Amino acid sequence: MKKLLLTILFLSALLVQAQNPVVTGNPASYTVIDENIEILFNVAGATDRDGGSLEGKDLYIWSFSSAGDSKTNGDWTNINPAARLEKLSDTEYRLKFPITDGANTYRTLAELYGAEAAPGSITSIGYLLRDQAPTFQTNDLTIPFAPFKFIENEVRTFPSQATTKDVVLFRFNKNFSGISNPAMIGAQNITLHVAPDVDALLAIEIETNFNGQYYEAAIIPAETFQGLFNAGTLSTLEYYFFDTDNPTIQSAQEEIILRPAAN
Amino acid sequence: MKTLKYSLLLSIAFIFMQCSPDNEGTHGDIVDRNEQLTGTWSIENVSQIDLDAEKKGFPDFATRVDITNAISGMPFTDFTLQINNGTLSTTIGNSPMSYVISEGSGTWKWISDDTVNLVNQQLGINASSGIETEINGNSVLFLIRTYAGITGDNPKLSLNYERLDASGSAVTRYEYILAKQ
Repeated sequence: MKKLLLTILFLSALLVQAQNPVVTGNPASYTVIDENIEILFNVAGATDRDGGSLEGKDLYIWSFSSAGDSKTNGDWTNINPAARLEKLSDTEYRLKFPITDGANTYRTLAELYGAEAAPGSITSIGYLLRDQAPTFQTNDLTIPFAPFKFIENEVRTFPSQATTKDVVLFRFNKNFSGISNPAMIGAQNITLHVAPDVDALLAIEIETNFNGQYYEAAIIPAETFQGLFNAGTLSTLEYYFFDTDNPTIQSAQEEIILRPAAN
Repeated sequence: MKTLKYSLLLSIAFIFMQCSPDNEGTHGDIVDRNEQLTGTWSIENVSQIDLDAEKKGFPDFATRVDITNAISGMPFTDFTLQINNGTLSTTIGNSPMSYVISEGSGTWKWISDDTVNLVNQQLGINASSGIETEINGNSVLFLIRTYAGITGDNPKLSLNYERLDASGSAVTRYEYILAKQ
């Protein structure tokens, strides 16, 4: 009975000792397309999967994502030197972007996992820490990151980014929960007001259509503000919506910065 | 024994001679994309895709919008494209297509190996294929991501156009569905 108790105590002690590294970011929250981020691993008290301490060891990261494995993994028995974590102290290690691997540079997590064309396909990132050989390794662990999230707004454009020659749709969402001016909810007819920031006198006003969800109207900025477009000064448009029957009732104002078009 | 051997050899040679290609059937006929593109096409529908939203995997309503009649007085349906063998002409009307392609007559050519890679065409492996048009010195690239619908009673041509910013990054994609007149 004594032996059994001792065994249980011993196993419990082992379980208590087994601890995973604590992963944090700098900045604290980052997405897979953010550049110049740092991922920090605090290994104070952390152990490999056999209970060996990670503190002070030469650590390499072997990582994988839902979109593919890290391009700096190399082979399991011949890990890429670019996968070596920077040792800040015996307990603090760092993976710092951009990561240079010979002629290749990975500026973001999306690039590291070969998903720069579709970063939204990265829904999870796993990793383990190990030494070069490897003679030890941790269990499979997780690197947290902020997912992409579409944020609805009272007023916005579609697309969110556009050139001067794109069709730009301006939208007002009357049902937005945080609407800035509740009086707009009662508006029966809604007009869009758009003005270039360089010349408010060129402002235009267009009656919107209701598509079942949004009050919206579209323009091609290069067409609507042809003079500025031809002069090469068409860039930022400021816009808001107002109650056609009572123009003093207005929505929030936003702006869109247009890019020059190459084609 | 010798006679038997020669007979066997002759028989085998005869069998192989019978394995010549069958040119009489219609199954597996080569698709002539030039012919399929020939005709007068009018825009029926236009979708605009926010490429940043698409990259981030945002929901469909935040990624794609039907803009066929989005601009008052400027319906995309005004646009007509007449394609002949190597030449083409456009009619813009009031459509916003003047910000994509010039009005008038010009030439067009394939921008991939479609004309020679007939096997791929038959299998529909033309993901990066398309046409380059040139009117009055202005060239425009249209991608053809699918040939689905180009045959049948009511043929449809699917052309995609990507708008680039000054740094060469694609900002938006326009998906035009044109109906044969």
